[in-house]
Amino acid sequence: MNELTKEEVLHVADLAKIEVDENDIIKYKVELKQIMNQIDLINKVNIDEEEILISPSNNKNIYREDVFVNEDVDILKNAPKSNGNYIEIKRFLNE
Amino acid sequence: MSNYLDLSIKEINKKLINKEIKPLDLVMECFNRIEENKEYNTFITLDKENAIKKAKELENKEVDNLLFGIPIAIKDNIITKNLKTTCASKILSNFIPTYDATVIKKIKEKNMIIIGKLNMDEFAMGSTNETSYYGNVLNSYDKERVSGGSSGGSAVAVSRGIVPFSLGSDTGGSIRQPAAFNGVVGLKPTYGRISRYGLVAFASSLDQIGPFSRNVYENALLLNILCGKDEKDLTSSDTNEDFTRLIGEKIDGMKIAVPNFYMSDVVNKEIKNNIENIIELLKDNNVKVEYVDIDYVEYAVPLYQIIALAEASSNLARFDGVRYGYQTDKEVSSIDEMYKYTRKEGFGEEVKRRMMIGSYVLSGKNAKTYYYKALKIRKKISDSFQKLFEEYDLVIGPTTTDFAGKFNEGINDATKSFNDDLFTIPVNMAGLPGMSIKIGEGKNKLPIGLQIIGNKFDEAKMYKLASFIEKEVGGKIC
Repeated sequence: MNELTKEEVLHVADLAKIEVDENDIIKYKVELKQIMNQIDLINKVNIDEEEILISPSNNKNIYREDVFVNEDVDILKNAPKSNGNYIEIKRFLNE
Repeated sequence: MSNYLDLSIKEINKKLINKEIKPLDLVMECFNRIEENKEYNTFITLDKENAIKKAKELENKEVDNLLFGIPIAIKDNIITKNLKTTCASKILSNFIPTYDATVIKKIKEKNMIIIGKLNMDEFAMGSTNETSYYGNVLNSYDKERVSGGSSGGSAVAVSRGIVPFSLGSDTGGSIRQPAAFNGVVGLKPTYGRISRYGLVAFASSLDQIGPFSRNVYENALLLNILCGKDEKDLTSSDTNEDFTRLIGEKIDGMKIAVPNFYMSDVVNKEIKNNIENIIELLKDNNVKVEYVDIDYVEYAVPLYQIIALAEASSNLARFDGVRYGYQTDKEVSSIDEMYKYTRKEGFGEEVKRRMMIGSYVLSGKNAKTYYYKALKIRKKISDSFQKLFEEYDLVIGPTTTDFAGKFNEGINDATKSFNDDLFTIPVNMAGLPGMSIKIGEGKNKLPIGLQIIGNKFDEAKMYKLASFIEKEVGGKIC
């Protein structure tokens, strides 16, 4: 199979929270499959050991005192809509 | 108009100290050159007013370091307080950061002057700069060709002489590949060498910020001020040192490995010949050069498609149209629909594809089949390199398989942007430092890049070899 099915495209688009229309589906069926075919190459590899590498650095937890630090950052500055001290979004009641 | 920007940093520094020139002269030259090179489309946002203001302020300050008053431009995924930072995306087209990235703080502390924000592939996803919402960047050597990416603007701005320095970021080759395509020096430092605080995250376990420059020595100068521990990035390392210290030292006795994988038939013949000439040059100078195999390195591209995209799908989940960035105007009936339309309209094609693949490899059973399996192979690649560095000082090979291509070559192939990074991705997987320097030009007059890969935190040694080769091939020493 050199294409994903429509259902498969809709599934991954839903996972990624991206709306797709009919034209997108036609395109992604082929394009996503091209990448997935290449990803499948790793199935050829057999590794018995369970060791994994998540990050190249040796991450260690760093603890700090639990004190309030005022960073003076205006978090509302870039919100598309805000009202006083709140970020505003549309009302959704019919879930 | 003067041409002080063509002088070496040391010479400029001398003239600044002697008060022969002022920082403002350099800044005005930059903006003239931006105008002259407008068609290359290197910048997304210019910061002329503040740059001039800063330059004037510096007139009353003592010139206390080599980078004082020197102009620099910044890739547009590194956040700059009060200066628009778009990641070359529609979704951040109005984003004004409220704080500075750690590297920006460091640059400002040394009184370098930020000229503006550079064009790039959207969210650093791409290898040609064609995924930018703000249009293509043209190759510095041939306007019909791509600049490479994702740090295309960073490479071309330095190559065209607009600025002596720029910053880029490298997740799978995004500094080294455009550096090779535009004949400049680009370094991806060791993972953890430079704080990532304020770099808009793409794949957090692979991303690194790094310097672009005209020559090797000046690259080391900039790295000197960028590195160090940052309490805001727990992966950063406390490793301050002078990276210029080995430049000019003899290279005889060094041991260098050339991976067979990097010299296979996929490499353009002319590029391969140029690399072989470098190998001969090194041998003539009493360097031991040997061909080696690196286990599992051939899986680097699918590994990247899994690991980088999985991390990206998670990192880019924050773009929801609520707290910052673009929000859809569509009449929507649920919060989910609001997210979905915002992201459909706000992101470009490459980014959307990558987020879908990333979500897929992490979902349900796939997490084990793909993501976890990829982490096992990643461990093996990292081990292979570590074993190699027990015996060799450095690894060399071509930066890219081919010369810079023309526009739209990847239009029917969603895997092209990954395959372009065949030789650069393994370095990110293992967290190693890698750099590209120009070693010559093809018959087509396009530059050829040599990649030098070092063990973790061995940048000084890489600069030593790079500066030797640069001198031998008649590179731009300034």
